[in-house]
Amino acid sequence: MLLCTTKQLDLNKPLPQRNILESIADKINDKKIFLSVHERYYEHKYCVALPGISQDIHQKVGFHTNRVCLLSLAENHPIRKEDKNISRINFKVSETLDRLQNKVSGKSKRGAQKLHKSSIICYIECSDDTNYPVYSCVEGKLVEINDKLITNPNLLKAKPDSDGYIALLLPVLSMYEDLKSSMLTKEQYFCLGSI
Amino acid sequence: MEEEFKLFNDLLNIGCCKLCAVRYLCKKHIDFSNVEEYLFENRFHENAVKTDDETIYNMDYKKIKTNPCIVCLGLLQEESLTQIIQSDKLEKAKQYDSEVFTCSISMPAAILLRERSMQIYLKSQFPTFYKENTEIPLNRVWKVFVKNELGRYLQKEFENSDTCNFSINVAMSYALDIEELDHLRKMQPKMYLERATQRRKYNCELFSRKGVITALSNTPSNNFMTNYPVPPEIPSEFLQVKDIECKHNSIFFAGRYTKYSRDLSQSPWIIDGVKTMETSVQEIIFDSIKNVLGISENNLKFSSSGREDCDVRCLGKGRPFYIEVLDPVKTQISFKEFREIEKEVNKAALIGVFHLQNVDRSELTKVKEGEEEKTKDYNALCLSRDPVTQEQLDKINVCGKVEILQKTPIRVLHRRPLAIRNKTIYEMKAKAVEGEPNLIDLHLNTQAGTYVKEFVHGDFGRTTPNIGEIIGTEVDIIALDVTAINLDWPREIEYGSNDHTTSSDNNDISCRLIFSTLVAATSCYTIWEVTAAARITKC
Ligand SMILES: [Zn+2]
Repeated sequence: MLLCTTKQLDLNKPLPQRNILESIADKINDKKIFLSVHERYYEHKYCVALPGISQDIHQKVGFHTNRVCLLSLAENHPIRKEDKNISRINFKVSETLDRLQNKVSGKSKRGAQKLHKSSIICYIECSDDTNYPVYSCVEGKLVEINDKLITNPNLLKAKPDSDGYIALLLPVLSMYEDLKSSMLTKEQYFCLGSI
Repeated sequence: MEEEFKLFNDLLNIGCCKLCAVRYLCKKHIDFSNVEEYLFENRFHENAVKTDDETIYNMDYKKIKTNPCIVCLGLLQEESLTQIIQSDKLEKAKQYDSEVFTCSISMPAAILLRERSMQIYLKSQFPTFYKENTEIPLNRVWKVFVKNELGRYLQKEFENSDTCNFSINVAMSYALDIEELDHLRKMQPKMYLERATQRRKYNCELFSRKGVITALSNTPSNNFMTNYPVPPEIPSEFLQVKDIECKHNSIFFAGRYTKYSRDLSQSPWIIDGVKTMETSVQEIIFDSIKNVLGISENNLKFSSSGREDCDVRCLGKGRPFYIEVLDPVKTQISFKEFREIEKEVNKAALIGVFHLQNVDRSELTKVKEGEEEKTKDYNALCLSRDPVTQEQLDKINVCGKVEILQKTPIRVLHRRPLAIRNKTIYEMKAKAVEGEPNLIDLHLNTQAGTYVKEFVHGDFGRTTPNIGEIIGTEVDIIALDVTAINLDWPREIEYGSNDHTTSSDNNDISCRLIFSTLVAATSCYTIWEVTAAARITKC
């Protein structure tokens, strides 16, 4: 995992040929600033609009270097912005489809529930009777639902970028680059918010 | 005895070679490397049938112009042995340093047809004496026939094939093979029509060995006799050497490697067919073996007791590994050569290899055992979001044994199944780092298979408890060293005594020096000493 940072920095450097010990100091010098795990290993993109969905959805997708996607709420999502109290997260998205029943096996995550960009992952029910669907934003497979949200739904607000993630998704690899570029960068997202 | 003389003479008469004739005597105890003795002692020559004032069976039979045998097509005759010995394809067998060899023969399928014809012939001519399938098999006699001369030529001792590591397979071809096998079509028209029309199913091969055996066993004698001569006719051609294949069973080298680079993976890292890193632990070791022993990397296979990530160093005594050498030409590696390989590896100072030696295949299970059962020691340099207090360090130090639940880390989730595993952290020691208030110098002893990086930062709560949880703040890991893999394998090499080598030259001495320096370096320096100069500041 540390590779991700050091590799970007050292991509063009020749392999260390010097004294063993010096080369280590180099590596550690590269990391002067404390960055959270989600900042160091994930590229965050924002998903505001989805085809067929009328309102803005304010979601965020963290792309790991291995292409696993981490789904969470963006900063301007009403729940985060207005600090709403979450009463329950409902993963039973239809009569027949319960996201908590998702089971995957093997390296290729066989048996995973298939997702389209506008597939609903869950509904966040707030104590003010508002109800927000969370969309997949990614076409691919559902790998894992963050089961900690069942007992502690407010983790979603408290640690939105880390322990409060909503789900792990595995995107269809052939569409990966298109998917990433179709989403907004952090700068674009906050620009949008200020208009 | 009378019946034996009769059969023997009759077979020579119809065109069998001497060894085939003896084979059909169906006597298991005959030593085929010395049939003359058997024939002499049993007075076969005195009972030879005489025609035209000439003995068909002659003690000095080499002088007689012989025809290719009607059964073995010359396989058990001097002609084919000479041909094998003189074949340039046998040259490569000489290059192997194996002191022993075994051999086998691949024969054309036409021989099966001829053997069947002989069986039918013998049953009708010698019904009381000959019992089907009691003759001594051709391949067994061939081995005995060739082993001494082949051994003399190769300067290797023949050994029984079950125990021998080096085998030579001689493939013989017969120019008239297809022509003769074509008779099978008349015997089994249905079967061969099907085979001819469904070529793909039968791998485009009309007369496979297996198919010929089936066809023959389905053909009764009378059908056979109407479609093929009994006994078989004298062939116009001898067998020819088609190919000679040599194969030595794998041998194994074992040792321990250390890794000093944080930019080096264990095996070549290939993404979409492109190598992403310049080199790897495996490649450095393979290159050195190639340089010293001349073994191509295509014949080498690397295995180890687990692996570390490319940004993790492996220090201390290093990680046990072994290398399988496929089809080795050179199997006798000296103490000195192993030391030379180590020296070559250690040159670039990216990794070190020690205790390199030959090991027996039976020892290899120890490596997997080490991967799954033995504990590992780590040194982790952790960075806390906030300055670390003594109270926080104490929280780690009083933990003792910690049972953790670990979901497959997200960083490997793309190539590993999702699972939750129970792991044990047996011991932890946390220390502050002088002048670096946000750093923790953490020493751990863990169960094999624990993902230490995730135990430190928690992987979004997917590993619990984790260091962040234990001290109540956000923690990340910035460097990790494996300091011990607690598996005593392979045995340690005595670097001090090189009695095994004839001369102790400078190479050995400098090799020893490098070794001791590295051991000193890797055990003295912990991660944080090196980072004292790193000036990690909080943003
Ligand atoms: Zn013969």
